[in-house]
Amino acid sequence: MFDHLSYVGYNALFCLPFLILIWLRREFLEVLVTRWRPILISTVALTVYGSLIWPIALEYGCWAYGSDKISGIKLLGYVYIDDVMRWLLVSFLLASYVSLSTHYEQQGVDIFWRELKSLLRSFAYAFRGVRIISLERNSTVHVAVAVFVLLEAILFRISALEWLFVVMSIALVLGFEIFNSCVERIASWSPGESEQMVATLGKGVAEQRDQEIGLVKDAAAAGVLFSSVAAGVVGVTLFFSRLLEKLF
Amino acid sequence: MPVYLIYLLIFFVAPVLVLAWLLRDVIGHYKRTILWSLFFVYTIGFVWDWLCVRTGVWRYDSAKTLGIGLVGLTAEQFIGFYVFGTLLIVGVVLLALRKAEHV
Repeated sequence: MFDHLSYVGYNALFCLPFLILIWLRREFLEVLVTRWRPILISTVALTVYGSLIWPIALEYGCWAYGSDKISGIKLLGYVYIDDVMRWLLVSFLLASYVSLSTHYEQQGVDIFWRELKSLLRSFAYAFRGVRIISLERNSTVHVAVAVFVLLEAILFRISALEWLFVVMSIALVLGFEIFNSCVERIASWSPGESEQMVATLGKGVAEQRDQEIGLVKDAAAAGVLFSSVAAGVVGVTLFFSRLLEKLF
Repeated sequence: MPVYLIYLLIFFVAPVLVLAWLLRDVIGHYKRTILWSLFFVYTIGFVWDWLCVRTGVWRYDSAKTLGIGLVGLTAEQFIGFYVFGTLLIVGVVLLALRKAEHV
């Protein structure tokens, strides 16, 4: 798939995203930095051990590499750097995970299960949030237009690339509309606060706050307008000429 | 001749047994960590291995293995390397953490 970078590419593909997941989180980073020494020592020790024993397996034919799939570069003429990289990344990844997991397990917390449940809960909340579409007039208009565009796309048998544009446009418009609905609701919440603000801070500050909230709501609506116009351009570009062809 | 099996016995199983003895008082407290590590290797690691065999990055010689396999991977890989390779890495990390008095 990646020719001479295949082995190296797969190493990076299957290790780097998970390393970022672990090390980028502030909560995890604070734990890992206190354990940097054992992580470093175990990573180095395992990389050296793996680099020493891997060529022995190759020598005795336990497995063989595709010559066009590896870099072919040997470190000190002994071990492929692809193998060294694999041991380095896998050791570092597992060392990071074990260090993190043992810290939480000491407190009776299964960290992977906790994160998995939290992620699934986020998806559940997001699916529940979709119902806001049915509560707003503009949202239902956008959904109706989306269905119309999807039917046109099917009937005109558009290409895969054109499908990409259609799907992206629909997703952007609906996404912005949902976000706009949220901003409107937050900004319009607790109307009684305005009267309290007038009483405590004076009319001038309350008016300024109302103006700012008005601006935020208008700006959110402008976001929807931009995405709708862009979607409209996509629609006209894709379907107008086809429609003209069919009609004339 | 099962060369791969002998290789695993010498370079993975033996060190894991030594580590298990050294960490005998600690292992019981971190069962979830060890089990989840094995889970990741058997899921993500399996997909990685299968992709590499499928795209020709590496291949296993049936003459040097037990000859039992699944989707291009050998039994030694499934049982030997996935289990003892993972336990070796986890064991070394636990040992380093214990030396640093984190476990």
